[in-house]
Amino acid sequence: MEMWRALWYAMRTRWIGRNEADRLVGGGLPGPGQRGLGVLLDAANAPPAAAELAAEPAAVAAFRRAQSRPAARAR
Amino acid sequence: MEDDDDLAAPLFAAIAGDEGGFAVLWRALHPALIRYLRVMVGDAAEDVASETWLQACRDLPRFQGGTTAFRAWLFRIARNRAIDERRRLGRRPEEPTAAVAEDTIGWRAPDAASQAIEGADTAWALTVIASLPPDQAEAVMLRAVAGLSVAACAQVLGKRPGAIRVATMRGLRRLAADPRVRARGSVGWLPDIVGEMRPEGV
Repeated sequence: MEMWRALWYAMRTRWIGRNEADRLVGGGLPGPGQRGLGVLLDAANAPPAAAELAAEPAAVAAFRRAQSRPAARAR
Repeated sequence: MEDDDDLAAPLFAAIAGDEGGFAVLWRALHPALIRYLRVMVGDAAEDVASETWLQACRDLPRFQGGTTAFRAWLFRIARNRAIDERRRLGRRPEEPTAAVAEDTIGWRAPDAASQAIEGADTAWALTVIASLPPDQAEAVMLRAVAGLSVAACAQVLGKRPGAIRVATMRGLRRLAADPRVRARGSVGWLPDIVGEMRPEGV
């Protein structure tokens, strides 16, 4: 049975060629054999969690410090 | 992911020293950056991202180009920093778990806290992508998550565009065939003929 499963999935996924890959990474809808892949790509591209944006004040502070350096002021 | 057109004005403002412009850029690009770095260096991603933005802040006045070029420029900095970090970890003999195997890109599974913070689905996706061969994992992350074009991705990775497309294609094929991915896709849609493939309890 394992062989049939492997064959079934191989048939379902083999048509991911270069153009199909370009389409999928661009947010294109997955085909019928690619639903799991679509779920994965959606999850990887999910809107940012609050924690992922928590460092914004520190980043902006670093930007402010960089701007106050003489080289930055001179431009 | 914001369109590059939406980021043009904030980019030029940031180059001119405007803090608000920088904040818009950071909010738009940091989530993808941190996710890319999680695949590259695991739990060191936050530190490497900080170093990346510090360098970007320092070098931004000298940056020339539009938003597409900026995106590639930022991820190239991140990649160089990530490579430095992996070398640094590899030089620490007192921490054997930090040694980077040649066939991996240094992924360590995120701890429970970071998974809870990040979102379980996203953490799961990054874990699966990080299990790909390194060139495929990077190509998938830069194309699908960072939103880089083939040309920009080739520029970041120092490879030919054809190699990027092949790596992306192979990575997606491998992901589509991964049992963990198949299990996620099987809920409620698979035909009866493969119903037995559903994980127990689903």
